[in-house]
Amino acid sequence: MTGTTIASEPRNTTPLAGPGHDGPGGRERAQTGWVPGEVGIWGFILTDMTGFAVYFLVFAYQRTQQPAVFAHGRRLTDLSAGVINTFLLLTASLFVALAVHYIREGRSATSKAMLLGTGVCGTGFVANKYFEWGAELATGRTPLSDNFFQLYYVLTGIHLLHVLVALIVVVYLWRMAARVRNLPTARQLRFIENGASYWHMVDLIWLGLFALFYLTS
Amino acid sequence: MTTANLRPPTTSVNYIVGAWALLMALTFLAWWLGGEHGVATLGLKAVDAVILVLAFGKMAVVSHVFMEQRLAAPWLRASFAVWYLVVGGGLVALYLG
Repeated sequence: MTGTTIASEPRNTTPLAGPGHDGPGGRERAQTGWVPGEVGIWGFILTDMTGFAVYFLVFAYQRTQQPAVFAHGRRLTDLSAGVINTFLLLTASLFVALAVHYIREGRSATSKAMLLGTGVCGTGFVANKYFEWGAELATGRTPLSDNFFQLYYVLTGIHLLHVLVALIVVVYLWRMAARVRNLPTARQLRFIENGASYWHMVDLIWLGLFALFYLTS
Repeated sequence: MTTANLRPPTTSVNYIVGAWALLMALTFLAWWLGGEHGVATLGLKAVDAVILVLAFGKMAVVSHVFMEQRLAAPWLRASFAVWYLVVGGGLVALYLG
């Protein structure tokens, strides 16, 4: 996506209206086919979520095979770290949702501030994960310890990679938000909605990991 | 890549912040249940089931509000609903089995 391409797009000059909300025809749109961003991003997100669905179910099945190992492992994970990371990702998602809201109103500076908040929370998640893993490894709990900790490091590691990618995406969203003058073009808005949807998916998957590795028996 | 509709929804800030507050509250509840209090109150299997239901409820809030699926095409909402039912149902069955 280039600046030239964006600049050539027609700019909206009136507030946007949409499904179920402020404009005429909104309810009908909700019934027919509006999606945030592009259809393609949802194909990607659903594919990614299908992969995590398999991981979740494999974890639960393995747990039925070794209940004592999994119960012991769960008691050793750092619940406080898990809770802090959940708060950080939920708050990051709040900032992303607000960034989308404000960019639709053409409030580029406020949207950028929200995205900055997302970046701070996301970076906090990565830092907290670094310290959490460091503490686990320092006490001898490694991926080779048992089946629980193998899944713990692999699944939370795959998720951590998603967070790192999402943080890079947020940088691009911030740059795109900085280009918005008045109201965003359709292309700008699609770009921002695509990235926002990806971030929310990363948050959504964490909620499942948090329950499995930190909360259940 | 096709995009069905370029006119986006508008959602109030209060609605978005309210969803976040609900998610935080549900996380506190799950945290409490995941400790010794929950097991003492409900028993181990019941706590696991409630925690999983809470987790998938929180995911639904994320997709409904933050991902704006309440306003999205039926196929998208249905896709996520199927995911919640299959994965959430499968997990609860495996945990209770």
